[in-house]
Amino acid sequence: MVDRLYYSVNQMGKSESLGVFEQIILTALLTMGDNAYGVTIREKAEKLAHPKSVSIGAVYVTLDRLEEKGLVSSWFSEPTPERGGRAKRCYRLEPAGRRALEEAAVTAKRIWDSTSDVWGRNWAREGGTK
Amino acid sequence: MRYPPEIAEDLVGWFLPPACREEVLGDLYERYVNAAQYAMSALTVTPRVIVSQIRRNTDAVIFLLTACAICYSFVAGWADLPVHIDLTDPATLLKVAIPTAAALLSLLVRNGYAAPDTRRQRAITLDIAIAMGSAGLTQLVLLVALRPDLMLLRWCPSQETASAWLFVILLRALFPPEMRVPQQMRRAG
Repeated sequence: MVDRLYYSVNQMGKSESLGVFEQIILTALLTMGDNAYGVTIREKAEKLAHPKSVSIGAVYVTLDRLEEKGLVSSWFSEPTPERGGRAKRCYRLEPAGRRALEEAAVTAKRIWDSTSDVWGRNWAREGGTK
Repeated sequence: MRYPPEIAEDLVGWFLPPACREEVLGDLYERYVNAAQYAMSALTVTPRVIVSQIRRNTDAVIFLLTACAICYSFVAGWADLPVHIDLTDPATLLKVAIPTAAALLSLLVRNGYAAPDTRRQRAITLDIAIAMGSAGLTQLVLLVALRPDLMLLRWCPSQETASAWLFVILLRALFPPEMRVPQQMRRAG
């Protein structure tokens, strides 16, 4: 029991708690593979955040913060003419980011299950629009 | 396909911190629709990435030590005066706070623009010169704005002032604001 409690407390200390927008960005990275850079991440994030709009500035700031936390990493691609001869800064999910996203997804699932229990299965089937 | 005007790109690039200049300019280029959209995107993106870089490159403890040293440098300039300076008086504190805040703000902005290719010695000299210049500028602005009551009147540099600034130089030399760039670029550069 003590061991289990210690383990849980230890795990809590190690895992990163994510904000909603951070979860959106990490989800976008998870689904995009190697073609994840500023423009494409913003497009994907906007789909995930619908109907809210997502600014490219917010994406940069969040990616920067996630990189600092060690949840994502970045590298520069080759410069391309459609970008005026500039390189893309591509991002990928790191194992720590994957773990943090898994935890967030499990929590979101629990919230989803609990709310649909109260608000009804029809609400859940309609995708959460009342 | 339409492209942003070169002059607009140069202007935006000048304001963007070097750590993110390449990708932000590239992304803005790729998303270009018209001049108004480009200007709006640049205006919303640039301040955010500057603040982001400042936050990332600034160590809170080092910043606090720098703030204390700069504040002390202005207080120490009054130390040899025959008149008693009451540091518990809010008006006196405000006189010290104005140049201190200006110097710190300039150092913060410099942190945001930290670049790996800048020679450290030159960068530190420039940091200190800009910080001192900003502090001096506040006094000039107060003089022009006819608010001498907020100026550091009868303040003169002392040995303690010099020591405090030397401490700031040491802090920036030992704990430089680091710009983090992806490994691939670092190797290529």
